[in-house]
Order: sequence, then C-alpha cells, then structure tokens
Amino acid sequence: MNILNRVLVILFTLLVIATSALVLAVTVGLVAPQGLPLPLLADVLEPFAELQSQSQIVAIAVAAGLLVLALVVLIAELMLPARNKKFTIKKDDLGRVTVSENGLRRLVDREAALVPGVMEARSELSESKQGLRVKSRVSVDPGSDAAQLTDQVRDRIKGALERHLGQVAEVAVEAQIEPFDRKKRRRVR
Amino acid sequence: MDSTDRLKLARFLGDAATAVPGVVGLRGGRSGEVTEYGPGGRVSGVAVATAAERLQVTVSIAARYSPDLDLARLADRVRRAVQHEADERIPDTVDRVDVVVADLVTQEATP
Repeated sequence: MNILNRVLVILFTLLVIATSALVLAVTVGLVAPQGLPLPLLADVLEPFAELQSQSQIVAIAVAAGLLVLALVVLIAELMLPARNKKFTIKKDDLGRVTVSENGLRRLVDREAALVPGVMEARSELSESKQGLRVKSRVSVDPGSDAAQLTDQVRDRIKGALERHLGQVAEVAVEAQIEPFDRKKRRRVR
Repeated sequence: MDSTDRLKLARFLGDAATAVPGVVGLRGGRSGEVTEYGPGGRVSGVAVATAAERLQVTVSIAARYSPDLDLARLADRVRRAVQHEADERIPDTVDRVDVVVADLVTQEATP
C-alpha cells in the first residue's frame, strides 16, 4: 500500500471513529443533538436520540462495533513497521540509486561468509553522522585462528562497502566458535 | 496519463528491468511502497509518479549476489534499460529513473 492509500485509510478510519462515537454518545444520552454546534449534525443525529429499547440496543451495538473496528484498523496502520532504510549508492541527473538496509545486510553477511573459516555471519547496520556503522558477528570454524579471521572479515566487509557505497565509518567484527542458535533453548526440568 | 496507461507502462518497464542480467526479480516492499496500482491489477516493484506532465519511475529490484557484483554498474544497466523502454513507448516523457536494490539473492536461492 503506498503512502497516499495509507493516508486515505487513516483519514477514513478517523471519520468512522468520529461518526460512530457521536452516534454512540447521542444514542446512550450522553450528548443532546441540540447541543451540537452544527445544526445539520443535530438534524442527522436527532433520530438516534429518540430510539427506544430494541432499536436503541441495535444502534449501540453497531456504533460500538464500528468504533472498535476503526480503532483496530487505525492502530494497525500507524503501527506498521517503519519503511526499510535506504543507503544512497549514487545520485545524478538520471536518478538516484539506493540499496535497502536489508539488501546491504545480506551483502555484508555474504562477503563475511566468503572468508575461509567463517561458517555464518549476522550483521547489524546503523547510520551515524560519520557514516555507516557495521557490527558483524561471525561463527567460525573451531580449528581456525579467530583473531586473524576477525581482521580478514573486517577488511573484506570494509572493502566491499567502500566499493559499493564509497564510505564506511566503522566495521566491528566479533567472532565466536559456537554456531548461532537456531532455536530457542528449551527449559529442562 | 491515466492509471490504466501507467499500469500498462509499469508492466513494460518491469519487464525491461528484469531482462537485465543480474536482476532476479522485482520487489514491491513489505507494505507495497514501490507498487503501481491500477484498474484490474498492480505491478510490484515499479512505481510511476507524475509531476508536471513528466514521469518519474522507481524500480525496486532483487539482484543476484556474486563476489564480483558491482551494485552501481548493475543499477546503471537497469536505469538505461528502463529509460530506453520508456523512450520507445512514450518519447521524452520520463524524467528520471530511480533504482532501489531491495534484496540480494544468492545463486543457490535462485529458482
């Protein structure tokens, strides 16, 4: 869903929330239609104030249902994950070339895994005023020299990122002998 | 240009982008931020925006990873292919082509 569609959905849900809250308030008697600032609104809501027994219950149920539904949709729209961050590779008259954070993370992990002795890599990227910062954890072969591998991985990642992006602020690499946990540990009684 | 024409153009531009060697496919994004919607369908991974009678195209691709991958060169090839396709269909209308490398796919993960 693009930005315009999301804005339209948010505006529509706000409208539904306002309408159903007003109908609910008038139907249960919290607000008198005559007390509303707009005469047109008062005319439209007047019949809800006059509802009796069964009809009143149905109106309350429908308005409350719509209110809850619109609130759920609004919260879901607002809570959607932030857009994937992008890093600019180049920008000229023809347009802009960017790489997503997800794509760049995969690139870093792939480059790290190409160093002999590295079994797996997992990286985190962040941006500071100085530029891109990379924190990479690598799982290495138990028979390898972890300190030496760490330097090789750092150089490899730094070289690849400088080739693609041009500038890198910092690359930090941590090596561990154990493989990464794939499953949550089960508690054994 | 109406939404039907934009959708049709987006399909052609998407095909041009995916025909570039090294491009595995198009990616619309998790919430469809790079997607062209129109009557009867949508094209994920291509968005066509209109500004003052001119068009700006965004193409979001998944690239095939290889150790000698050069993202800037690949993106340039995609931009040229998309611009060429656009010029063939609607000459002098597309102002700029933005390329997003949204994902990298390894050889073994490629179908």
